Amino acid sequence: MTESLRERLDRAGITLAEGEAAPAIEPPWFVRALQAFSGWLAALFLLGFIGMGMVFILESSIAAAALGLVLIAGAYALLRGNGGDFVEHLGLAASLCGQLLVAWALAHALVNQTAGLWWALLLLQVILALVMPSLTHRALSALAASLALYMALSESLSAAPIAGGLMLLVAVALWLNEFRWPARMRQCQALGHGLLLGLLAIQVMEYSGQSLLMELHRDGLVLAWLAPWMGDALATLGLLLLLRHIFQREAHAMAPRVRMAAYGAAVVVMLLSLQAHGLSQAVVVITLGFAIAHRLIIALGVLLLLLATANYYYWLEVTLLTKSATLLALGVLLLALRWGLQRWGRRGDGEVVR
Amino acid sequence: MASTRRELAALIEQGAIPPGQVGQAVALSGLHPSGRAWGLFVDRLLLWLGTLALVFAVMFLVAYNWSEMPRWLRFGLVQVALVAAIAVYCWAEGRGVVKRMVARAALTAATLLLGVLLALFGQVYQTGADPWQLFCIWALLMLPWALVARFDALWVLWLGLLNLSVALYFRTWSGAFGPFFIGDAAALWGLFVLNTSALVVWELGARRWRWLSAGWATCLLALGSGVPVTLLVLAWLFDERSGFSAAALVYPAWLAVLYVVYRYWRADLFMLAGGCLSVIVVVTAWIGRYFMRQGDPGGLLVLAMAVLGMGAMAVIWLKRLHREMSA
Repeated sequence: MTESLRERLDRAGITLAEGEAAPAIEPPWFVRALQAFSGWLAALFLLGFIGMGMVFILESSIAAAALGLVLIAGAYALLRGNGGDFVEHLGLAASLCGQLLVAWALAHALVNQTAGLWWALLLLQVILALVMPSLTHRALSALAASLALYMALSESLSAAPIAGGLMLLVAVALWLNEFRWPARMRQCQALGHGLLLGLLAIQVMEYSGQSLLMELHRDGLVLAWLAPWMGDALATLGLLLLLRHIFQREAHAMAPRVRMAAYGAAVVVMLLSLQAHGLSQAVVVITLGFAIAHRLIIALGVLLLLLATANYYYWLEVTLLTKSATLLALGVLLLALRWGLQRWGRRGDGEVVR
Repeated sequence: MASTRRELAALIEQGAIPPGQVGQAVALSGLHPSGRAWGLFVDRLLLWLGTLALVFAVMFLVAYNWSEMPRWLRFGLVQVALVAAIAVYCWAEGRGVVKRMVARAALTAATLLLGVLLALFGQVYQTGADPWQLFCIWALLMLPWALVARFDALWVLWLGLLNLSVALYFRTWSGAFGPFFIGDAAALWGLFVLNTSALVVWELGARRWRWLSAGWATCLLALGSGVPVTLLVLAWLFDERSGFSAAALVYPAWLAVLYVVYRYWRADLFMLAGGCLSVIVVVTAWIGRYFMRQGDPGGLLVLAMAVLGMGAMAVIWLKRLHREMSA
């Protein structure tokens, strides 16, 4: 730990409990990603072994579901035991293999009810994300739950774009409250990471798989027509919540005029999102990343912004000429806003000096 | 920024901060940005988003291929935008550090507009040039700007264009090198050589120029170096016809250099984690190839255990290194 943080806390009268060892710094995200990757790969090989070596299990839905649940329960016991990295890997692989077996059984049982299958998988992933005693597992389950929600909404209500907005809203709520319950801090962060990765995966699916889901859109269904805008409205709600939180935190430093300007900017972002779907989500993620000082989340937001731009380019509702004019107006507006804010800031500084 | 977050989280997790005072500790830690930092963030966000929106507006207009718009007007529009961007750069650079970010944004815009101009040239005159030529000429023409800008993102853009040129070149001319290269393998070798050389130059340059020392660029270059060489080894492993490949010699040497450089010369956990991932993939493929020939389901169980073992060992080692590096 750096001296400055300790000194700062000491000066404020917060006495740190001195442990025997220095606090264990959490390994970076890519170490967790490596763990998740090897867990997934091992799970696929395990499933292949069951598929080739014990064919009778895959032939019976009940046997597959039973073995899947046993594997998940075993993984829970292993992970709860906190037996080190190898055991955590083993638990992760066993659980993922179990989930694939349960999904296989559900797919057989609900062969004509695709929506039901995705809702059931969503329920399974939510339960696992909440109870599994492994941070990597929680993040993976939150990611899988995001994708299951996307597919469930797509299949049952033709309203897939709502999923992104919902995920973002939950992620914002989790990240803004990450330190509220100290004992649950790491779990909150793991779920937050999983949901934001899920959001990115959803945007990629929207970008690359739009044509696949197009046939699922039922004509005349009001919700299907409204879904893209509802998704953006939910993202804007997330932005408003974020702004409210920041203003409460920085109550002394933010003038009412700044607040009004920020809320106005949120409305402008929402209006722009009506054309470039996903733009509001990217803005929320970038702002969230900066608000909680999390570089990885800012990078995720930049990726979402690039995806939203690419989506906008390929959006067929308006011509490239209209898009060009919109972007021109947006660029001029943003740079004019920056110029205005700088002038305003300088005048404010001058008043303070006087 | 990231280290304060990690340190604070570690203290909270360990219970060093009394639960009732966690909120106060978070507020005092300096983790959350101040009003001034917010001002700077909004300023830069508006600058970059505004600049890129203007560039994309020109790009979308050219992509629209508006037949009613005369070609001289289209060229004139893009060229005026390009000259305007350069003019803003010259003005901002003259104002020194205060306007450095404006200068960088303007030069980035000019670089992108240069690509738009080249694309417009190809669109109007139907030159019939291969796509790799567009990216290669773009990279060559933007080089002087990258040299004067002292801006890492512009160099990454330059390298990205070169990567695209190399990949597209080998796709176009696959087979031109006779029996020594076969299509995609040639492209992978090209990308490996390009990115590895760029990584070496970047690392050496970062010791002299501070603006090159941002870690994200070297991480991207290492990915650009590691992914092709790993794919080359995998291709060699699964190619029944090939007896020997240079990848079999280059890959262990690449791993050894990666280990020595990023373990002892400039400690970097990301690079070492990337090396571990590559080894896991290659060893799994090597074992998998043996069991695929046998057709034994038990082989899949062995593979699962091997992956688990390698993954766990890698994570244990990386965590130990992380503790050493954080100490």
